Amino acid sequence: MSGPEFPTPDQFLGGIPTMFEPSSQQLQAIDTWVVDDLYYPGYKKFLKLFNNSSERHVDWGNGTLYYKRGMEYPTDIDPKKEYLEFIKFQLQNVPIRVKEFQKAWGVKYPPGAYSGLHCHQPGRQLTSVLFLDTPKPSVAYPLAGCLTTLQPTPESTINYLTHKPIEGKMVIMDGKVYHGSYPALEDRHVFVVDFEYESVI
Amino acid sequence: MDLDEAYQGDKDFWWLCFNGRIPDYWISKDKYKDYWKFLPLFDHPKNQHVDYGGAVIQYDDDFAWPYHSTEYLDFIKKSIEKFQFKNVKFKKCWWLTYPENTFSGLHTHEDRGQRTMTCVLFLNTISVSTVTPLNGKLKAITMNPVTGELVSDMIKCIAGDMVVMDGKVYHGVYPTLEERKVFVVDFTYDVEYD
Repeated sequence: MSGPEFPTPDQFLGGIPTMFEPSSQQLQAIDTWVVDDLYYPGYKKFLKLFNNSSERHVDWGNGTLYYKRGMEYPTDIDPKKEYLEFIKFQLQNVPIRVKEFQKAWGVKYPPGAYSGLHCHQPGRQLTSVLFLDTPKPSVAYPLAGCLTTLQPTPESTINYLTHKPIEGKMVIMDGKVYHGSYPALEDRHVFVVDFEYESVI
Repeated sequence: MDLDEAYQGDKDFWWLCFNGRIPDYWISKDKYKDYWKFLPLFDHPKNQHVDYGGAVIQYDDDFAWPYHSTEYLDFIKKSIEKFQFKNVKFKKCWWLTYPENTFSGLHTHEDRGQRTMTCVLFLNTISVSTVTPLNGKLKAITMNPVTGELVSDMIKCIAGDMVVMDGKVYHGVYPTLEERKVFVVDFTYDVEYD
């Protein structure tokens, strides 16, 4: 960038008083993370949620959300909350302290259904996605049903990943990570749990 | 003033873009009233193939510019003048038809270290519905390079609207419930810090 207004790179963003100093704080806050390739052997029990839920609604991408009133944890399916403990255990090497359970829900994606890109803000939230079935692979549409994540890195790049749905596999991510799923070719189900967390850095 | 209170998040990103003060991950928008001139291109393409997601891509040999006139290219260059980029050069162009229920996966237009920008011109208007609000919309995920935060943008398909973005910006199209047509041009460019 050249021109009399920006004589040096250091001055390139000068004169923006509402942003410059706060940005240094925000920069330190970009501690996003994605933990993938995890496996939860007890995943099948959560398929019951799609028969036992009291509430449901159709989301924008035509997936149907199934959940208990208030998006409470389905203790009729997992009375000892073993899955919540499993999630916390998987995150023991991430520099965070998992706090309160926030909400849980299942999503059924019929053929053609997808999930728009979104993140879970504000504050410090984490979200876990457990795949409950394995769609047949497709040569024509290899990304069908895949979960995608877009994560900002400290190097100012965007880390884009795709996660193939395989039953029992799970992905846990920071709430600032944008995610969504590609249109499905056949019915697929996921179970999602959100927590609050705090950083320990 | 408290720093957190002063922080404006996405607003700062759009301010930077609007004023041309951002060399990376930028997005710029404009309107091109003569968009209809590109519609005849769809009738007699030299080449075409179906992209992942089902859209039909059409293009001249080597993705060359299909006209003698460079009026539109000049319009784009004028539109992004505020960024003071150097060596803005046409790279390639193509045009797409998205039949019902087709989409475009997330992608960038990065090219091995060469700065690239892409310009999407909407050639028809897609209806907006509260039941299916994502219908055919262009979704972009970019970054505020000052804060390192991701910035999300959802762009309605309105005939004549033009979106120019840095090649590093991730973008894709949500499944459309009605036919959708766009014209795309890529440029290479340089950023020169004086």
